[in-house]
Amino acid sequence: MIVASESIVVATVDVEHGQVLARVLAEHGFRPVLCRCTEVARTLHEVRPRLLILGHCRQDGEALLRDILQQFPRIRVIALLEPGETEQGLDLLDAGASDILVKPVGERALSIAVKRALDILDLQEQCDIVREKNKILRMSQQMCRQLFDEVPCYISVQNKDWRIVRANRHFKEDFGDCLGEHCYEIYKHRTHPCPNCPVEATFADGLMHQTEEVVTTRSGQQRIVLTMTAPIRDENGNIVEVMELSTDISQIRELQSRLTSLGLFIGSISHGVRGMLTALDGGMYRLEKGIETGDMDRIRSGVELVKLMVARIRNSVLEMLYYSKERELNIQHIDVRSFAESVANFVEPKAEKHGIAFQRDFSQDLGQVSLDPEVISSGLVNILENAVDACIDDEAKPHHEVVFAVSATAHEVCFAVRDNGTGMDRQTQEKMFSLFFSSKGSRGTGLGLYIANDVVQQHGGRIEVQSALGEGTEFRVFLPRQPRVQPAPAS
Amino acid sequence: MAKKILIIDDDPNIVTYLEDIFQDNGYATCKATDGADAMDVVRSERPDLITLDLEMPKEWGPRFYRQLSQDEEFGGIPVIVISGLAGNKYAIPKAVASFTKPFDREELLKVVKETLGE
Repeated sequence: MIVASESIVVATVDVEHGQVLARVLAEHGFRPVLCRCTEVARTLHEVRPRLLILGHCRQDGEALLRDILQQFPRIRVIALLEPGETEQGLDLLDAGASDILVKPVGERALSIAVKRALDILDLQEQCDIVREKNKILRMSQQMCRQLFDEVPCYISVQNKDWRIVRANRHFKEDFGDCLGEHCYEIYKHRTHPCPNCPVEATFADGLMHQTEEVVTTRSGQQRIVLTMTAPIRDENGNIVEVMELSTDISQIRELQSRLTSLGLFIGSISHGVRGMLTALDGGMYRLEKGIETGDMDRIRSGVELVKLMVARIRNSVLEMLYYSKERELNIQHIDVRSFAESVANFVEPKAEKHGIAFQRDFSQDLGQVSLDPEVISSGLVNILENAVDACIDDEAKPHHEVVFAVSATAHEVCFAVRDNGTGMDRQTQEKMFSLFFSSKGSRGTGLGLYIANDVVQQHGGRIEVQSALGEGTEFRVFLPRQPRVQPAPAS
Repeated sequence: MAKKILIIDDDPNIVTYLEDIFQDNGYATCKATDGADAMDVVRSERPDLITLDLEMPKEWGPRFYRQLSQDEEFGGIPVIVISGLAGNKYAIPKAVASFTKPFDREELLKVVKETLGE
């Protein structure tokens, strides 16, 4: 923008000519500063103008111009020429003059040249501002991209069709480069959108929504994530996309579940412990009364009762310590077949009661295995009872059976439990080992498979599951013949 | 003649303890190990007071109490609840007293004496 009062330096040899030019400039609202050619550098330093009108100063005007432009690279120079100095004019343009005017300079020509020079200066300044803004924008974009990629959570942006349109690096690392795919397929391996979808809710009401989900990475690892959604709007305020931000809270949940599990366990044993303490009181009472009355029989029976109760309380405390992960596995070397028989004997009556065929399919020469029979048998019983329950719940087939198959290799033993009951959908399969997840409603506690998986892992073993909804389920529990005892999970 | 107390509890060690306490204090005792048998014992032994556990394998305490309180002849027998359940006083609100195991022996005896009017 031309500032009318801005200073323009006019440097000429011909003082009178300079004064004429200055008067014209002043009439157009500028503040002309006159100087001689010899003083041009000093004047420019003092006045700092954007525009210089440079008269025909000396023979080597071109060198002077170059010198000025070197010192003041942003200044624009209008060079004045004597008539017929076309060549010199071209030289000056070549040296950087922005315009040339031939003497005598008319008012109109001067006015046009000054206006044009100042317009170009304004454009240049605007270009500089745009360039600077571009630089800031690029830096901001880079910063945003970096934040988007480096933030330690999964970020994805979904459109109204639940398709992922953007995702951060962390997301891509764990779920693959799956732009264009449905979020429910990628996060949960579902074929339909999740019930209570927070993305859908945000599209509907434009508010933030929060849920807790179990997601499965492309390498099959399960993560418990806290998911928050927020709307992304276009310039008219319409919600066009929804951002989903998921934080991995698996470790927190693991810790919580340990504590909750301990709390539940204490709750469940408290009735028994109260009974034991009461009976211990009874033994003490009997002992005291015996001593008071000198009744040796009473003393003896009192001591027996106290010993019995102390032993029971001791076992309970040890069990409690197991749940707080301080109990070590009680590894014993046992015969696989007789162990399997005893596990089967525990569950068979329940199956028979409900008319479910229970088959034992034990290979020959199963040999020996080292394990903690107490915890492993309770885990296997749990899986077998689940199989029976799945058959009871299945009304679609007329005949149900549970097969308990045990086989072995040189290094490991496999306990397989097959049923033709209800089977499980993919989501149930993914969640079944989570604490407090139960597909049995009020009949399940959500503890059984969690603990079974936990003890098998502690033995260095693994559980594999194959299931098809409506067809049935097979659990295969692999245990090494010699347990590679795993450290307890951090809790 | 000594007043008779019926002890209903599935834990034989606790039954023995209560027998010891009551017999040492001059009461006669009889016992039942679950709610299902207890009504028969009430009819045959005609106790003056009943101590009742709540959680028992065959039939749990409140169901026995409902049966007892509906019985014309024995419905008025006072009942003291002795149970390992926290909050057991809500299970049988009409009980004379509710004790949580492990209970205070002296306190129990005091309630028994007051109830039986001695």
